[in-house]
Amino acid sequence: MFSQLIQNLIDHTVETSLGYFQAELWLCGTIVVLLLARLFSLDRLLPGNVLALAGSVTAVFAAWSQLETVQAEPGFSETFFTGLMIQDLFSVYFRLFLALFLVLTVALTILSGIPDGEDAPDFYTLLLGATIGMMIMAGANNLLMLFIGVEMASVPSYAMVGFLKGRRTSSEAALKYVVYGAGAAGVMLYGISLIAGVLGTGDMSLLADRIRIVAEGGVAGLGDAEVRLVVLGVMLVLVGLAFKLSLVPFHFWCPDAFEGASAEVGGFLSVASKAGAFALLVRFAVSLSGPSSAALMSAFGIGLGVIAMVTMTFGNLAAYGQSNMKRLLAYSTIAHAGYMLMAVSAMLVMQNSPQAGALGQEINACIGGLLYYLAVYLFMNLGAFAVVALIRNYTFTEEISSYAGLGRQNPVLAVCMLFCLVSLVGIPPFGGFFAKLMIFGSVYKAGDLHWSMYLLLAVGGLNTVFSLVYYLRVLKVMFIEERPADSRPIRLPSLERAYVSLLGAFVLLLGCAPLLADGLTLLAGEAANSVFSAAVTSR
Amino acid sequence: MQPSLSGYLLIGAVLFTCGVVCMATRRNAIGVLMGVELVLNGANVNLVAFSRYTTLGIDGQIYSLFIIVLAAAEAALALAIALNFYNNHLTIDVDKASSLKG
Amino acid sequence: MTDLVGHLVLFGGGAAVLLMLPLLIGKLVRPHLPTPQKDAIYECGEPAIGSSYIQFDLRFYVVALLFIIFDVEVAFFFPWAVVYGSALQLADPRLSDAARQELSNRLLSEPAGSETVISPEAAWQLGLTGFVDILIFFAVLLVGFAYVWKRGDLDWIRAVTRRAHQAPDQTVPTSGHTTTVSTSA
Repeated sequence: MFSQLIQNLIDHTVETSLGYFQAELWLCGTIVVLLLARLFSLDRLLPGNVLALAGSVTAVFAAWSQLETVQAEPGFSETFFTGLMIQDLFSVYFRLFLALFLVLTVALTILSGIPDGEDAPDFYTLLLGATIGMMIMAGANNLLMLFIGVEMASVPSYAMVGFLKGRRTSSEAALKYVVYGAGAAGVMLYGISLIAGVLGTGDMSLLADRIRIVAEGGVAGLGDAEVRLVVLGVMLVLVGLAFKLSLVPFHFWCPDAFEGASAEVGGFLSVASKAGAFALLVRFAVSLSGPSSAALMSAFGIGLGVIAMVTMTFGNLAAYGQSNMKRLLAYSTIAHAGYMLMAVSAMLVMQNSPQAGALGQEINACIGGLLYYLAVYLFMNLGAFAVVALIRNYTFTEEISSYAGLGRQNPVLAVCMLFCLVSLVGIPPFGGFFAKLMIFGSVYKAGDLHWSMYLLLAVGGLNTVFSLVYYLRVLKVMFIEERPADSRPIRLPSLERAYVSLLGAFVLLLGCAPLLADGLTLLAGEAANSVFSAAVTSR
Repeated sequence: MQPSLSGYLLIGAVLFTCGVVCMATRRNAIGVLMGVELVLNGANVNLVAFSRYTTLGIDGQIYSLFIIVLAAAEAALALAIALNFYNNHLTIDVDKASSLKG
Repeated sequence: MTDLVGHLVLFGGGAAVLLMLPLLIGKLVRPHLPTPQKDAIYECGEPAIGSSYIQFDLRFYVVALLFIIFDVEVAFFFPWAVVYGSALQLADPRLSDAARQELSNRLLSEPAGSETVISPEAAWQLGLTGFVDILIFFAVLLVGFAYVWKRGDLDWIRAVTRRAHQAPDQTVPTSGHTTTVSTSA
């Protein structure tokens, strides 16, 4: 019997789990090869950036093949590694998203040459390691994996922020990021210990069920001491996630870290670490939602709505006075985290309402909208950061004033920036508009259940109008002002031009090419569906 | 005399509170990191206690093992960053890290 | 119980009184005439030089950083060693039935009197799996270690001077240490 048990464990690990984990394994292998190449002084033959690019492209193919198999079975959901991780369309969607983003980031670093030959293995090790952490965050099915994912994503990020050696601002940014980040991770861990201890399990798919058992009356209320402890734990975990998402009371690090880090790293952190944290937030929120915790979770939903309002308002207001482009984009990142949080808030309010059964379609649409938003955000935000990085290589500055007259001198860069910024505002026909529309639509539907959702919608709409002003200011500098006569001309090689054009084209196409946009919407909807079906089948 | 679960949780809570206070009040970066370690160890005490007294079982001890390793990795990286900061600024006072703001 | 507490209170109280009493008497009896010489720090009759808060060589930090990572990784060996050791003992077919029962119960954390017994074949399989697992783990760890070594981060008389010649603005590079964190964590 025991022999059978071990044999099953080995078989399941080798045949199923490692297959589901292959994208991460390819990245792990790439890291080891990167270090070995350096160890045996093969870096002339196999430069670090080529290896990293090859590894991340392989990871994309691995994730793509998983997508095809998982998509063939609607509602597919299976835990692996003895229940520590979960494989469904939601996690595969994020895996593919992160791998694709990794390829784009590595390509950008190759074009802009941010790690020199000496540092390339170090830098790409950190970059790939952080991506593995984010993939684990998206597939976590256990509180331990939740924490390991967050740590694996953050620890290399701290180092990447401080990667520009000998620069005062870079080391300062890294210090601030690591001090706040380590604190947030510690607080989150304490929350995890409370949840796991009181509910007696770390398995996230069992949490809602255990809350029902702990709340003896059947409905979890704050009157019960054990439920109070769980609620405290959930709040502490949310602090950690809010830090990763740079939501308002925990956003201090974001502008400083982005300004001190290179633009490439800023772009990576703003998209990838947000995506991983949102995946985790959705999974965590869904795993806690159940019939007995409905009242608590819908209160959490409204609380997240309030945080979303404050976050986007703060982000947009603070972005006004910025003269540094990276800092402006950092505040814009904060504001966008607020927009995306609206979807999670609406989802929680709807899923924990008495009419949840009838609202299945709308609940799906919330998460579908969030996934679509993240995909569009990838292209528009990375595009903006890429332009900042490429211009920096010529002008050696990231001040907005140095962009004067760029529209005439280098139309490709300027038009790409135009597409990205306009899409960030959310103006049709760009992708950002439809993404925002989907989220606002979900929040509107949630408004029937609680009035505060209408308020959230109104604040979101107002913020969109606010944000127009500071994005337009950058565009005005680029297109209307004259370029100073003594400034250095920016002549991009054709490869770099092709790169930014590609990103700009995707921002446009995701908005106005129905085939691409509908395909993505459909995929996002299915992925959203899978996260809920997992929660239902395990119950 | 068998100590009860609440005794261990109390120790964990005291460690956690000390850690948070230490993080909030210390100006020295190393001091802040010591606060973080206290918080992590508060969580570890909780997990090990829960693993003895609740259905969490051996999982709790495995959690704390992973946490010890992650905490060490994080502390090592934070020390390296603090060292880098010292090389650039000749201080590790976090209040002196003020050239980035706005 | 009360007996123990009583003893503790008596002992603690006695210690406190015996400590405080001489101090109190001294305070009441002694004259108060401070001079700069009397207020100076006592250092074996020598004049005190500087503050005791001196700075240590930064290289201690670097070695400490590397040590702590590789040291803590070994913590993963403990649970592994417990299982692997029991499995190898159980894999021995000459083991007596009683000892086999006891070891099985310990490995499966079941109470004494449980019927489940692990056969030598199953134990051998478990041991083999554990061995392969730890080999992979250790190999990855070794790659990180070799990388650090190759970069020269373990050299005590490092080439601080050599680097100083090459790049005057960079004293101690830290990126190497951070890399080890990500690979070995």
